[in-house]
Amino acid sequence: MAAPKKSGRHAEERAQKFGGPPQPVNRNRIRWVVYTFAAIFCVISLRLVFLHLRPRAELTNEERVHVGYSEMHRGRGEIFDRNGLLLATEKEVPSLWADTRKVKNAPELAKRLSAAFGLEESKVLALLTEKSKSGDPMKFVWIKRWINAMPLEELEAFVKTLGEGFALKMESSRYYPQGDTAAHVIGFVNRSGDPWEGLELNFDPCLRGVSGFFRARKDGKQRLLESLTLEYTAPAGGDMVQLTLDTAIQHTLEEAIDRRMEECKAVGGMGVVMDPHTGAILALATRPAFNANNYEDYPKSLWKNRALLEMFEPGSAFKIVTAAAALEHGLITPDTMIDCENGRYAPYKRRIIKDVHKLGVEPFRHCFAESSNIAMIKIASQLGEERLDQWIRRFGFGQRTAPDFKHETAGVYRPRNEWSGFSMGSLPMGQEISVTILQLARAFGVIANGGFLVDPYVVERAVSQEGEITYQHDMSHKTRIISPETAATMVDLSYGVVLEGTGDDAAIPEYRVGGKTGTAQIASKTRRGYEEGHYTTVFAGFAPIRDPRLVCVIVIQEPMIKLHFGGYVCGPVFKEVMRDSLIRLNVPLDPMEGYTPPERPAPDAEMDPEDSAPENTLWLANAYEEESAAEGDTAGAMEPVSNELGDVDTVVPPINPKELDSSLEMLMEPLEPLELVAVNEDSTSTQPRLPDLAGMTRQQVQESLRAFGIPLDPLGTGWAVQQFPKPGTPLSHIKICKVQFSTEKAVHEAPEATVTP
Amino acid sequence: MAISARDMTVQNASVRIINPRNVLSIDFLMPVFVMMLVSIGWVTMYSAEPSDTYAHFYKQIMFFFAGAAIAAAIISMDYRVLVSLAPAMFVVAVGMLVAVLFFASVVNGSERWLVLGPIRIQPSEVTKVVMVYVLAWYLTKLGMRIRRFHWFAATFLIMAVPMLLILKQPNLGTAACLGPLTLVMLFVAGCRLWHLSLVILAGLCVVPFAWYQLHGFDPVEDKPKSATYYEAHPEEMPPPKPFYELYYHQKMRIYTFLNPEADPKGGAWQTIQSKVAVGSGGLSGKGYLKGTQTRLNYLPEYHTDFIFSHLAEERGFLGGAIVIGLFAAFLLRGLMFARDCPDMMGTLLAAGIVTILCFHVFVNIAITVGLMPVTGIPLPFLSYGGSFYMTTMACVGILLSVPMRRRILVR
Repeated sequence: MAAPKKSGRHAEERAQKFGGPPQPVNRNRIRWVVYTFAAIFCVISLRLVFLHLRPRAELTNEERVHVGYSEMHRGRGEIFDRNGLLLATEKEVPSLWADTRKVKNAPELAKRLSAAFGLEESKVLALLTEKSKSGDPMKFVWIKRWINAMPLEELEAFVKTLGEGFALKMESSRYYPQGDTAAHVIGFVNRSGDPWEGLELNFDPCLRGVSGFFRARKDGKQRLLESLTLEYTAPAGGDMVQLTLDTAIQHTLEEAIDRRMEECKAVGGMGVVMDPHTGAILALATRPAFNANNYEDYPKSLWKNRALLEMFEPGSAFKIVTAAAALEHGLITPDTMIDCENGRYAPYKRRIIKDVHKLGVEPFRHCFAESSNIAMIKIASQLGEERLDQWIRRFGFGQRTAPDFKHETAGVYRPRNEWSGFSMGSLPMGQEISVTILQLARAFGVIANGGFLVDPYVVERAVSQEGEITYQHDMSHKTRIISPETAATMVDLSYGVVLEGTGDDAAIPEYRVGGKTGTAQIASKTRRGYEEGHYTTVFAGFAPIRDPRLVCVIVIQEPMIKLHFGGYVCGPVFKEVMRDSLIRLNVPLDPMEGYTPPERPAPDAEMDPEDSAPENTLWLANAYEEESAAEGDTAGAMEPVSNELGDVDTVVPPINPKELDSSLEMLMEPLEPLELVAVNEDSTSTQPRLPDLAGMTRQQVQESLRAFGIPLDPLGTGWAVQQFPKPGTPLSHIKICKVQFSTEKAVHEAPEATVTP
Repeated sequence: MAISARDMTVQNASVRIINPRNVLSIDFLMPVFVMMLVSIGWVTMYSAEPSDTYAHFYKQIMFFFAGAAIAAAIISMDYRVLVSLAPAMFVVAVGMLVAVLFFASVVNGSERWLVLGPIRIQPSEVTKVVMVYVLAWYLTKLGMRIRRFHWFAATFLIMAVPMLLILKQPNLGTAACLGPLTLVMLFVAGCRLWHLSLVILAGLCVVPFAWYQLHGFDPVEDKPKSATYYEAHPEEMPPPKPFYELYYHQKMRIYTFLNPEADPKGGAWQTIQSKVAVGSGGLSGKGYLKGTQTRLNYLPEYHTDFIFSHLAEERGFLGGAIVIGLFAAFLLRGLMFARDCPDMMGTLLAAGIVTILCFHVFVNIAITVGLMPVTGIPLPFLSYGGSFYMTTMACVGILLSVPMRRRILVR
């Protein structure tokens, strides 16, 4: 009791000393504190009422506030060849940009940059000194995009030496590791990512990667929550596309065509290697080509896949259709004897059909090997128009071949009611019809595979990134159009062409080859008729004979050499490609027995006679000798329609006499280099000399020359106006004699000559 | 009030410093309010549990029992004895605050802890309670002299010492808490109203100043131009800045509070997300454990400072209103103790404690509903945090001890 009292008093005393009198508790003030706190609680309660019960839309609609969106990138699909070799893919390609605010010494840098990337110096300088609208230097300027020329390390080192303000930015771009190999088949994707040509365009739905996206609630750390997905679209496309191409074969084909084009000074070349049983295209080349990695550097005309767009007259190569039809109908057998009219035949009033190899009554086998036009026309006339038309269509001419390609021409084959009067004389030997290389390959495939028409294709399958097959080539479309027996007979006949006929340049020692050559003049773009001296040469064939595994068609356009014959120009290409491909595909050997390859000069021997070795010249002379000998029996004398320039296979179209003058001029030109195949003028005078041939008909010229054993190289039609070597040249020095004929002269100097109507 | 023998014995018993028997005469209503709030706190903590092990939930329960022990200890002691120890408490508290400046471990950037073996103390939390005792001691000592201006002003000097030390930590929330505490206790102690008005007016001067500074402020246009810009434009000079002018980043902070939509990803992120949480709750909420704002980590600090928005999201307006109502009832009960206390010391203690708690409740909820800029102020009984829970429970103990001893003055 005491302690508290004491302490209480003590406290009171201290309080007295330190402070004043104790103040009474003012309950009013407590009340005011209560009011204040109540007011405060009212404020937050009101706020709560407003937030909860009358909230603004953005506060309640969480779905709108907290929804995230994410894209799942799906790149463009890759393209592979049949062996899995990468042909097209996505690649990060460096691009150089500059922050011009930091660039110092722009003129010098512009000089270095232009030198490094092959740009115009003034343009680079303009880029580096560019000003924005407000007059400030630009923060970002592309200097050069998609730099492929330099390896990345080198480029980085180079950029470092440029100093401040330059940097590389990697940009995704389509990349073709094989460069220009199969560039036309694959096509390309342009810089803005749009497919432009080829399979890239036609298979764009497969290849194009469609990025998926998903919309979902996100959490506070901006992560999307899979469990609260609102919308989901899976990424699609970006399929891997596998082609039937074999890059090695493709490469061989392109190399061979390129080389031959250069040798023959041709403007273009095309080739296809196909499996006749499936239609799988192993190689499809169009030359010259472009490198899809920098397609901008090539003219636009080179981007097109001309193998699918360019039509040409197949010439003699087309004769397989006529022959197969006749065999199938049992009209002939290979041993049927056919009267080839000794090389001259005029079934139509105004038209004379001529064979270069004059044949008498021969077995069909031989007629086919020697490519007799007359025999074909006779057979076709037995077939009749209707059946011939049916057979041409049945072989697939006039129809597109490969749905794998977006742009393909169907060729030109007129319906029967539009046929001309000469059609039955032209079609059997491949005139009045334009075909594509694939149509020809398909037709030869019919023979090679035992009678089925099989459409060529190039895309084997497309596989999605999930591993599902999204596209598979359907191989069930096989139409039998000729019997296996007919096919076997045709194979046999085709072998004859290579063995003893016009196609001996294509013979391969290890494999027996069957094929057919063709040479056709190119239809003039400016007028009716054909361009003189411009030819399309074709060799189409298959191998091995025992069991044909591959069909190959080679086309070389406009070879600028004298020997512009299908067999000579295209044969070596065919031979090289076919041999390499068969060995590569491990096809069992099917050797030719007792075969010795024919000796051939380099094709430019004729164009550059200065360099020509004597044996080449000799061979050339011999070649013409042979030909002249073959032509020696020509019966008719003056035929304005004749043109003996072609090889035995050449289908010579009728020439309008009015066009002859211009054609004459054109023909004059290729003659001139030949003058250099001159012989020594200082030869002994005791030898017999060449007479003056001027004014003679071609028949007369040929006969008189034959007496000396000199082959004739005739140019033009009509009467001789010019000759080389000149009259009086010792005969021993003459290997060949070129004679220019003209109708003008004939009118005045040889009116007695009969003109064939 | 009649004096009875029983009263005398009670009085005799109560003057003892430690008297467990006082527990029997404890107030009935306030523990009920407290237990309801504590239960709501546990349930909410279970829902707002940030970890998979429910560590926070169990710890929160532990904190309550520890806090209850502290409260029991305070209840069993005579508050007058404790107030008489106030100068010593003041010295210890200031000592701890100074110590914390030198040997403190930093948690969360601003909250500073003193580590004494296994015990971690947050001196600023302790200081709040201590300052109630100190002011109660000082103001009862002064008595009527509080009406003299210099004694009145001296209160602020006493307060300034811990306040500045806490600001230095920096812990703006706790420091700001001491302001209203001083004002309310001075008011209750019977200071002259015009003295108080003078202080409040001085504080209000900030408003026109801030208005003047922010008038026509545009975060984009007024952004000071970079040094590189002046390098590139030597003809232009940076505009001169008067000494009273606020810096851009200071203006920006106020601007962001006033216009949270201007920078939703930056400074206003927490405010906006908290508002979205409250607003999306609606009348009855999204349901227990279904608050997407917290589940998806939108709401920052949802188990501590923003637990009220979590509660409002899951339980809607009704849940929020019930909690606010309970707090109001609890604090009103505390003010009733102040009113009914026969001596000034108890009144001051009760009023001070209520002020502290009210400050926390108000500021915390005001922040979550976007009425105030964000500072770290926890909500009593609901927010996770050991030191603060202990402080709250100590406050409850102090409040309960005030009415228990009202009979002793009966003479």
